[in-house]
Amino acid sequence: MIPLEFPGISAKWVIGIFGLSHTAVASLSIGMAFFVTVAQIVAYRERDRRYDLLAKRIQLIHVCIYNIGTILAIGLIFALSGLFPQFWSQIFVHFFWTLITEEFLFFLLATTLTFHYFFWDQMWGHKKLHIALGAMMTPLFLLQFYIINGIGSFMITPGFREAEVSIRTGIIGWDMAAFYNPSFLILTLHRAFANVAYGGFVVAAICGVMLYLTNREKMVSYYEDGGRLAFGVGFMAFLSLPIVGYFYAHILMKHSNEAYVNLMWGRGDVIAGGVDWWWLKHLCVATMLGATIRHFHGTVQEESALPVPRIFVYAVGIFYVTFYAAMGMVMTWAFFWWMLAAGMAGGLLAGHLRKSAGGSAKGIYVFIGILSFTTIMLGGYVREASRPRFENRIAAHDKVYVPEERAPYLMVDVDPSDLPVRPPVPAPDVEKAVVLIRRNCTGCHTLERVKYYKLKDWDLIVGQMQAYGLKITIDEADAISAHLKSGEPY
Amino acid sequence: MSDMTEENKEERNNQETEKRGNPSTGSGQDGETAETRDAEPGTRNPEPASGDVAAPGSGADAPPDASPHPYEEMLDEYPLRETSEDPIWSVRIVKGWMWVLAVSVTGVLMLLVLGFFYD
Repeated sequence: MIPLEFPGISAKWVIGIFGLSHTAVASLSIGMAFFVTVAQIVAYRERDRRYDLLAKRIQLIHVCIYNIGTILAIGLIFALSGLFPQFWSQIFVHFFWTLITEEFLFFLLATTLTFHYFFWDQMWGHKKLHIALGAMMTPLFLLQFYIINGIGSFMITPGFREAEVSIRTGIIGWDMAAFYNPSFLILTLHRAFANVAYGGFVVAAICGVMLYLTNREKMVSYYEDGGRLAFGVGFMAFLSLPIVGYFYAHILMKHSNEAYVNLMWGRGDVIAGGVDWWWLKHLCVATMLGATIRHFHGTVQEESALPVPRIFVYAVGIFYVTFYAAMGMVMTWAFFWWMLAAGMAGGLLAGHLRKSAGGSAKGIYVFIGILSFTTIMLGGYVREASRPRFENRIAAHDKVYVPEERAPYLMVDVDPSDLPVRPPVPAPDVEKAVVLIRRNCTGCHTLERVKYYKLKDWDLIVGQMQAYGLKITIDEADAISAHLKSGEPY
Repeated sequence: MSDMTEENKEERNNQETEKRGNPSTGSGQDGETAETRDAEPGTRNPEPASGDVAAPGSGADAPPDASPHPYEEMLDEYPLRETSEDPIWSVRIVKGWMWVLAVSVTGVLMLLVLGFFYD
């Protein structure tokens, strides 16, 4: 059976292109929705139309982005289900109802976004209600994020229960241990704050570009103050990232050691084309840090709708330096010194950009917007590139989820003790069993995952893996099962 | 029937002002309300509407753009109005949708909490 292929491009890159394109636009949604609410509240409190007009314009961009993001998400799902049916069928085993709930949240979000934008000028008599409608998008996005990150983090720090439960009860499409896995909450926090920072910085970059295109006094004031507000929102979210990132690294160290080692030591797809993409991502972050601190150091006294306290600015710097020092201790001090150099270079460049623009921050806004985009892209890439890889791609559609190919005791209510007793198996060849385990199990998952199962269930689990598509003989299955039940190393 | 007429009128006014690039209700215009007047739209010290003076940092050497941006006329006022002036259908849709959201979010949260305890 020849699996589906895209001509001229590997299946992995098809997923990568769809995934990263989706991330580029969809990650803006949370940040833009949050910024629109902040800008609307500031405009209402100060009775300042400028922020409201900026919020409306950003919400229009958000409507476009949301549509593009949705189309890319559909493309990603089509590509995954076509090119990696084995993977997708396993995801459904754990998360079918979770994904249906996600779909419902997408419907709520798209409708709320549409109502909020298109009723903008109809609701000037009910402005608070209109602001509240827009504000609802943030909790909706967080809920949606909460769910998709439960699935995304499962692939890096999997928890398991469904495999055991479904042996006796059938597929239920929900797996509590898989969803509430060790890294889901920290990933949700990290991505949520990162996206708010990304959204704020991109809105500021839009204002920066517009500042280059106009020199009318009123419009300059409109974009300068709007950009300052957006930049402040992005910067405040930026503060949380080293703290959350530090705990994220700790969780990876304990629960996904392979991913942690890949990131810290530069292994696997984290290094591609001779470049360590995780280092590159942190160089971007450090440059952003230096540039933003330099920017706020020079403007902290300026009047702003969202003033950033000076102590807050320096706290960000101290947090980041501490984070990089911790990373230096774990990895190599070269990491620390490179980040310090990048931060200083960012600060110097920000000073130059501000000076050359006659005191305007437009150059800084555009520069940070570009860097935040590259950071989001690189962060998304290295997270996926660091996790344990599936060595074989099982893409034969006729071997996946065909009921008659399932072992008869799968997905029905049968107690293992009721199964027919097999004749005694001769003592297994340990060396052969170890080779079989290493070769066959790692076709779809890491050996770490094997350790999650209970010893007594191995006959059933090996049978279930055969139903998933594992091609082994009965003797090989018995050898694998016997070795795993013995608890001996493999 | 008369309500509908009022709504249509309001909508038409909105569309016309949007075309002119000024949905705000200027001083003495129909849409201005007591609230709008109390709102002190000039709290950020609006500049004269000339708009042809280049601001610092905006490429001061370059000549200013000839045509004003449509937003410029809107920037000085925050056009709050009486609640009765909003089209009733839009208010009803938004209020109804807020209830849908509240019930839906409660339902999804309940599912996630239950899912934490039941497998």
